[in-house]
Amino acid sequence: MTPRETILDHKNKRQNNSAIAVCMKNITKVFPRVIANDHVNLTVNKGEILALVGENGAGKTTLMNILYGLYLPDEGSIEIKGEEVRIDSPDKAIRLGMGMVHQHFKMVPTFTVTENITLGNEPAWGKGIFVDKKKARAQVIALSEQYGLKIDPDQRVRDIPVGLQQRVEILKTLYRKAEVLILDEPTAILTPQETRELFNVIRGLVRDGKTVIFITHKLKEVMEISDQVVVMRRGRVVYTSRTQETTPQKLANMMVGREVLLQLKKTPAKRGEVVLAVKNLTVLDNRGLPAVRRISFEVRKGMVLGIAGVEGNGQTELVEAITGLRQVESGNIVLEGREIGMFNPRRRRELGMAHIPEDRMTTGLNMEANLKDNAIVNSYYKSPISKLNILNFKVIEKFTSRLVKEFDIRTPNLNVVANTLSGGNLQKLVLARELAGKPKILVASQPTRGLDIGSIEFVHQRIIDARDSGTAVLLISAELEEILSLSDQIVVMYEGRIVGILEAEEADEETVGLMMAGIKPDKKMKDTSFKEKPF
Amino acid sequence: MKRLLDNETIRGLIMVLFSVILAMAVGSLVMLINGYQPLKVYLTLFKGAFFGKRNFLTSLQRATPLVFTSLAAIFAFRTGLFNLGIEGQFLIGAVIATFIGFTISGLNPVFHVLLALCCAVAAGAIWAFIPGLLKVKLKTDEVIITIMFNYLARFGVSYLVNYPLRESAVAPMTPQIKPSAELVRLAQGTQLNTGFFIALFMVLLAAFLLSRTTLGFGMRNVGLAPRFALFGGIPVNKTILMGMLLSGAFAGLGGGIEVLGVYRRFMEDFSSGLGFDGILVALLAKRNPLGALFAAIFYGGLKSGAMVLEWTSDIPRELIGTIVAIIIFFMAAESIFDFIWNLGNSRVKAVTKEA
Repeated sequence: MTPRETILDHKNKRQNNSAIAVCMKNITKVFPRVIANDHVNLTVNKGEILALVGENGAGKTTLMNILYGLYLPDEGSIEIKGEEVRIDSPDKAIRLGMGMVHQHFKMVPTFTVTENITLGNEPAWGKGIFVDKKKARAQVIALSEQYGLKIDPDQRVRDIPVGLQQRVEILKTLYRKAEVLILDEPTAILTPQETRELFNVIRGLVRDGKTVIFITHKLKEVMEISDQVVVMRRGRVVYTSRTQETTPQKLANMMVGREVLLQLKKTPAKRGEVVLAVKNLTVLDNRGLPAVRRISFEVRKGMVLGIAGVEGNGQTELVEAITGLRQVESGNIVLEGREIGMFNPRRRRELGMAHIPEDRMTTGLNMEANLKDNAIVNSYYKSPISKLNILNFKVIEKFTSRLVKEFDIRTPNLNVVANTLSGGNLQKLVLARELAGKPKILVASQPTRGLDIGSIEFVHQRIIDARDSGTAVLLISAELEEILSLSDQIVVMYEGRIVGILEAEEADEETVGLMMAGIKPDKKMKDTSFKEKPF
Repeated sequence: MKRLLDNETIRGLIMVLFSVILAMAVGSLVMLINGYQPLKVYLTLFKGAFFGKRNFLTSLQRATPLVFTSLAAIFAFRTGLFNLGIEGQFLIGAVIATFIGFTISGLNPVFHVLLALCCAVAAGAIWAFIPGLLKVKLKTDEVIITIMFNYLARFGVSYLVNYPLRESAVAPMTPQIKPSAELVRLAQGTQLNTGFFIALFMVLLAAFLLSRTTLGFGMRNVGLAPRFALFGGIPVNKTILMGMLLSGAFAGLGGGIEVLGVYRRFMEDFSSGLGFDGILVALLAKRNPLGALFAAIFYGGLKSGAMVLEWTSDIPRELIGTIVAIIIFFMAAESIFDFIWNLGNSRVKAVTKEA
């Protein structure tokens, strides 16, 4: 940004400050058993970026869904540009200039970019019922040029990377003439570089007079992009501030409601012998194409090996092959010197493997079953949990309540069905169960996905504790920050291959970020790290 | 929070009441159109089902095979399987029990009955195990295979009854079983027999198996969350095979008991629909064995009530069948009421908001 632009920017801002884009007053929304929004007030200035932060379940998404017409509030009112409105459908919200980019994209993968952007609002051919495809395409191109959002209008959405898909979603809202853009956790699926690009796009939109509401729980991003920050906790707004007048620590404390450690306490790893070795492993995906291509690495006792990479680069298939949920195409998986590639999950567990799967809803837990069933799935057939195939309810009760206590799982009782607990408590349950058997190797896949700061802190600490008590940890995460703060050694995956292996000391966001995009580090790096670990 | 929980219970009760009232209303409409008095018909129907010793015992007798077939359905459902072959497994069990019943003589009654029933159990179990094996090994869909196995069973049994095992020149049926193989009838004038007590015992056994054993634990997890089961180390394929095996075993046992207790010989088409009715009863009971007992009695009662209605009134049996079907439909279609309930609720909220 040139100095002149900055000055212009500031001028614009000052002008815009006089106008309020959205004002939500005393919004209350009650769901069965939970008050999602409790007299929430939110004012968004026109031409500004407002960061809405809070833990999961704090009520951010509910509030935004109310603004977008997906829910009607039980109480309270909404003013847009100073006029009171009743938003009873997304249609109405769009007409009032709202645009929302959901966390999970709402697009038709097999349609082209143009078709997705214009879907439902296609320009008609003459006055008829047919779509004027030429006009649609021209409109999309014009729009993308107007806002500097480069896309290929003819590509199918399923063929373009997530970063671009997100851009299509943003264009979709702009096509519908959105003035206020709501972005729900937009950076969750992006690499650091893609995030930076997104931020440039957002800044550009604001320069054009748009208003942006940015939902996130990443405090670094809040500090970087927003003008104003609003913190929600348990359905209430607990803190509002200009961004430059606050600090990440302050925000974290407000989000959680107590002092939190943003920096993990960790001593250097005491590496022992090799526990898990993966040699020339190739694994196929569901379509029968190689997702993991001749990968080799080792995990030692007492260390965390982190596998970094943007999602969908073979990590899922790699984890499934290691844990026995997917067939190995070729290569070896060796646990303490024994080939385990052909064993079923139970055999692998009996040899000391534990697994925190990336999808706790379908794999990690049985959401329809109570906590006790969930706690014993890996031990139900062993004494003393059962004897002669008959379950011992007393022992199960004791065992489960011990886990609940040790891992601080907040639950009314042990008989509630898993899907009534929050994500953080569910993940604690998974962690408690998997660590209960003192595993030799813990395979932790996206262990903090969707969790709030408090739970992330807890899960990270437990993983480090396990490491320090001698467990080898294989951590797979798309969150670069998580990889960097937990790992002792880092493997970066791209398109099923290993781009490079780094020691923790030589890894930083920039280097790993580039490797995640498939770009090998420069010569200097190679000389220090790649000779020792050929692959 | 307590208040909201109470709300849940109230909702459940309202739902049952609502579905009964609605069923009767729709049934009344059908009757009025056809020129019958609804109140009188309903009274006869329910009296015929549950009032008077004879009527009540007949209802229990009609419920007995349904208890077995619904338990069979429950075991499959709990394991996440659709065993639509209960009908066939029931028939196979029945024909084997009959065969043991009339060919062997001179046995102690207890042993004879036990032998016949054990063979029925084994036959039903094997008949269900084959589709299970095909599912596990070849990934075939058990729905299609079990339906096809119904045809195999029906026509296979029909052949047996018509040719090798046929006794009567008049009708396709086997010889009568020996008295030593008969299940004792409990009261004069009804066909209710000791099979009912076996049904009661099996309900308890099923409840125990499902809730207290490692097998039941494996089944419910494979059924509800197959990926979780595999991940956690539950032997998924073995559990699926056990699910089919047990499902078929209950169905086969039901078939055996029905011939040993009620018909005492195998007649062609004696059971038509009991297998599918069992699936319906299992769904009414929300896949709970104890619930299945009551649902089976309710369903069996409606059927025997309908018979009484047929004898004592001039209403055509087709219309009676329709009315019974309407009642069952409304009992089973709970999701419809869920929908209506939620609709009503949100409307109330909207109104209070505007006020």
